[in-house]
Amino acid sequence: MLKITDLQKHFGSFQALNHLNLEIAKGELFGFVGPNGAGKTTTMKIISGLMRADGGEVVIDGINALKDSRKLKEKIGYMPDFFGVYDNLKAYEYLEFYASVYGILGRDARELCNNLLDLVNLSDKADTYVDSLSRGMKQRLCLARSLVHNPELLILDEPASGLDPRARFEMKEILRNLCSMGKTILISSHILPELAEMCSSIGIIEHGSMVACGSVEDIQNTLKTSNPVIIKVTDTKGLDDAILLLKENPEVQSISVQELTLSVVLKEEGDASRAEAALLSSLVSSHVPVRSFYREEGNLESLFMQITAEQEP
Amino acid sequence: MHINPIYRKELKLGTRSLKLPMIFMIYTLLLTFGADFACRILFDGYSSSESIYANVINLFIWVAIGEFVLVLLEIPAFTAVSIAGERERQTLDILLTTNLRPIQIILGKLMSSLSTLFLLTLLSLPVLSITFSIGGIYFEDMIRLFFLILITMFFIGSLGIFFSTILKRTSSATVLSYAALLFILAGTIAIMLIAVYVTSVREQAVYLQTGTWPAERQFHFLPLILLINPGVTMFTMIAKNYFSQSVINDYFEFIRFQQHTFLTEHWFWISILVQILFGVLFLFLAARRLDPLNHKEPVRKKKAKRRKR
Repeated sequence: MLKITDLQKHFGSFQALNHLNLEIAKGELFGFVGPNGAGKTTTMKIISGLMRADGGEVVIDGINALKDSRKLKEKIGYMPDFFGVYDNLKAYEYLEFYASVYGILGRDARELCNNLLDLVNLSDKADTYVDSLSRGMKQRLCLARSLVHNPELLILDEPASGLDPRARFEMKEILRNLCSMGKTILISSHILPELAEMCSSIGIIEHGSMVACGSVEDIQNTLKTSNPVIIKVTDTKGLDDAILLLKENPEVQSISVQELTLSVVLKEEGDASRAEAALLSSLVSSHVPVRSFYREEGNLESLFMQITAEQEP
Repeated sequence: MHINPIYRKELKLGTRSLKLPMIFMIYTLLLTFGADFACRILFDGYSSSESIYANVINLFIWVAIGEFVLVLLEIPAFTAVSIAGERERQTLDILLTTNLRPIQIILGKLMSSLSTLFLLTLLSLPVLSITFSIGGIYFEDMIRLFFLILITMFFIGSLGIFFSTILKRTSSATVLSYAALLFILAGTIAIMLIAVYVTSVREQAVYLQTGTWPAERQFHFLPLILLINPGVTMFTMIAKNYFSQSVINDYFEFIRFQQHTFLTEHWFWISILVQILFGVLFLFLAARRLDPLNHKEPVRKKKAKRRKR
C-alpha cells in the first residue's frame, strides 16, 4: 500500500530524513515510533503532500506521491498532531463542510456525517459546537473528518497525545475497528508501549533513519539477546557449583549474583538460542539444582531506549 | 450549482459572529452622519432650486468619496486575516490535504471577503439615494461608482490575500497590507512629486549651463505608476464627470510629464484594467505560495544550528 524508498529531507544543514525506507502492506496498522524530532511528522507531511522531499520516492497504491499529489489526495486521510477547529460550527456542520470539499452535498452528506459521527461515537454531539467539545472528542471528530472521502490510507500523527486513559482507549478501539474495515493506518507516537498494544507492526525512527522495523515480537527477539539470562537455583551449594561451571564456559561474558539468583550475560556472538540451550544442558548434566532458567524480557520502554540509544551519534 | 465550499463555510461563519453586524452598524452610522453633515454644510442658507441642484452633485461626490475611503480602509482588515487566520487556527494543513486546489482556497477566501465588503457598499444605497430624491445625479454615475469600488476591492483584496499567504501571523499580514495600501495611495503620488522636483532641479541646472530647456523630461513614463492608485482612478472618474474632461491630461501638462492622449483620455478604464491585472497577479502568486509542493520551506538558520550542535 505504501512504499517509501530513500526519502531525504534537509532543513538548511539539518538532515531531517536520511534515506528513510519503509513498506506498509494493505490493511496493516503500522506504528511509527521515535523520539521527538526524529522525523516522524516530516515523513507524514511528505506522504500527505504538505512538504516537498529533497530526494527519494513515496509510492501509495502504485501512485508516485511526490509527482502526482492530486491523485494521492483521494487516497489518503491525514490527521495532524496539532489542529484547530472552526468556531461557530456544529460537529455535523464541520463534517459537512469537509464533505462538500469532496463534492458530497445535501442528503448524501448528511447521511455520511451521521455514519461517521456514529463510527467515532459522537452521534450525541452532532449539534454541539465544535469548539466546546473536549480534546478527546475533537480528536475523534478530526479522525471522522479524515474519513469523509473514504480514503484507503490513514495517516495519523500522534492522535492519542494529550488524551486521558479513557479517551486513549476509545481511540484505540476506533482504530482497530477501522483496520478491520480494511483501512491501512500509519500512526505515529513517541511512546512505544502505546502503539505496541494495537499495531500489527512498528517502525522505529531515529535521526531520520529507520533503525528497526517489523512486528513487536520480532524487534523484541532481535534485541533481547543482549539481555541477561536469569538462573535461579534451590540452595547455596547449587549456587557455588553453578558459578564454577559458568566461569569455565567461554560463552559467558559476566556473572552477577543476588541471593540464589544468577544473572548471566552471554557473549553476543553466534546463535543466542543455541548458546542458551548449551548452557542449560551443561548445568543440568552437572546436577546443578536449577529452579528456573529464562532470558530477561525487558519492557518496551527499555527496548525503545535501547534502540534509540544505540543510534546516538 | 457547485458553490466554492470555502466561500460557503466563510459566509456561514460570518453570519454567526457578532463582528459583522457591528461593522455594518458602525459603517452605516458613519456614512449617515457624514451625509447629514455634508447636507447641513451644502444646503444651509440656500433656497433656490438651482443652487440645490448644484450642491446635490457635491453631496454625491462627498458621499461617494466617504464610502470609497471607508471601503478602502476595511479591505485589508478583511482579507489580510484570511489565510494567515487559517494558519494561526491550525486548520490550513488540513485544507491543503483535501482535494481543494490552492487557487480554490484563495478564491473562496477572496469571494467571502468581497461579498461582505460589497454588502457594505449596498448598505450605502439609502444614503446615496438622498441625492436621487433631489435629482442631478444619473443612474450611470451610481453604477460607475459601484464598479470602481468593486474593482478596488478586488485589487486591494488580492493584495491583502497575498500578504496573508506569505506571512504566518495575521497581525503582520494586516500591518503589511495597510503599509502597501498606504504606498499605493500616497507613496505613488509621493514618488511622482519627488520625480517632478528632481527633474525640475536638473532641468534648471541644464538651463543655467546651456541656456536652453531640455526638449524632453527624464522619467517621462513615471506617471504610469499612478495607474495602480485607486484614489487617482476615483479622482479621474469624479473629475471627468463633474469638472473637466481632461483633468489628468491638464495635470500632466502642468508638471510637464506629457503622456499619450489615448492614455489620458481613457485613464479610468486603463487604470481599471491595470488594477485587475495586478489583482490577478497577486492571486496567482498567492496560490503558488500556498501550494506546499511549490515552495521551499524557510530555513530557520538559528534553529538548524542549535540542532546540529
